[in-house]
Amino acid sequence: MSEQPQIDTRPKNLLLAALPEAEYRRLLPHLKKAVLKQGDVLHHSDTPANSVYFLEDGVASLSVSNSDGVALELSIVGTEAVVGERAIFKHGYFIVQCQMLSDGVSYKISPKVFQKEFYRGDALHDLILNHLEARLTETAQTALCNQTHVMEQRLSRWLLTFADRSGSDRLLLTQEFISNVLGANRPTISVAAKALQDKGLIEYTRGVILIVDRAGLEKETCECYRVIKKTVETYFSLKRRS
Amino acid sequence: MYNPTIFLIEEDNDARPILRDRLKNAGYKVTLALDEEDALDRVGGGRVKADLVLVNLLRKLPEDILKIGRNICRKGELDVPVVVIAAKFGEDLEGKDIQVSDKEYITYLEDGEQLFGLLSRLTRDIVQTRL
Repeated sequence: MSEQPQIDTRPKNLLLAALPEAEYRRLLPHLKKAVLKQGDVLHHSDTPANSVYFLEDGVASLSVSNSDGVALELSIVGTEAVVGERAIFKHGYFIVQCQMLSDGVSYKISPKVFQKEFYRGDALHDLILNHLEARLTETAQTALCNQTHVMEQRLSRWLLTFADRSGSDRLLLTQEFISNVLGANRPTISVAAKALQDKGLIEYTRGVILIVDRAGLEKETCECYRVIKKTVETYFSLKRRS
Repeated sequence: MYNPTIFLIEEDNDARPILRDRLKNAGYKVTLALDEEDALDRVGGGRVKADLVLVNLLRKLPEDILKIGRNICRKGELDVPVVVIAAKFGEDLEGKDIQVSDKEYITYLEDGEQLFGLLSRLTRDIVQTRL
């Protein structure tokens, strides 16, 4: 990942954009732009956050894994939110890893500055609490989904959520990458993707998944997609400051 | 029209129902086993008649799965193609179907189309012979 010093005065990140002007101006000198690549790890599972990221473009995944390397995704984050909010905790046992699912661009800030701003109790404080509640709901719903729904439904939910967060129905993802993120056996993803392809819902060519029938894919998936979507819309219904 | 029978040994609970349904939709008859032990139980005494054996076992190397496929064929007196689906492999192998011996194949899937293409090629002769 590389850094660039220039700061865009109109951020695309909805959380930054929703801050009152005075709070945003206070953060501005501390924000650094970072160019991110698919696969970049923003936060490792066993360490405190070394930066807090406000994504301007791109999608990241929050996941947990066991000692055998089996990983399970908890949540997908896009430009609506922040990653590294664990920085608000003065002590912690960190098990969540954050990794970029796509190339992207982000503003990043030091955890100390972020923590200080949070504990001022102004707008950022409320936005982050909303964010944490949304993340908790999404994680709980994802756990339920993984336990109760078949792979075709889970894959549909994941593709739709990814598309929502990235703002595009053309997804630059290999099936290998998806199987790693979902903690699934790779052939299982191949077979499930073929089932969706046979139904005319997606098309897959090497490294690119195209959602060709979004309405059909929404019918194919379980209710978890709608719950997660509604949660994000409710908690992240952020308004840009005028 | 002759519909070839595939003896599917699929250990993954997530993949099993999808693969079974896809195979049936593609015109195959499917006999199912849950794992190696279940497969060996079923084939004893020539009770399973199949035109192809398809094996996907978790957490095993393709070469080891191939040995299991051989044992299953031997016990079931099945002289048919065996296809092993590899689970973990490098980019250099992705998209390849490697013929290991006269009737043994390891497929390194890039996507599901590749598997069904291989199955179609391997059963084409059987279908034409039976017509």
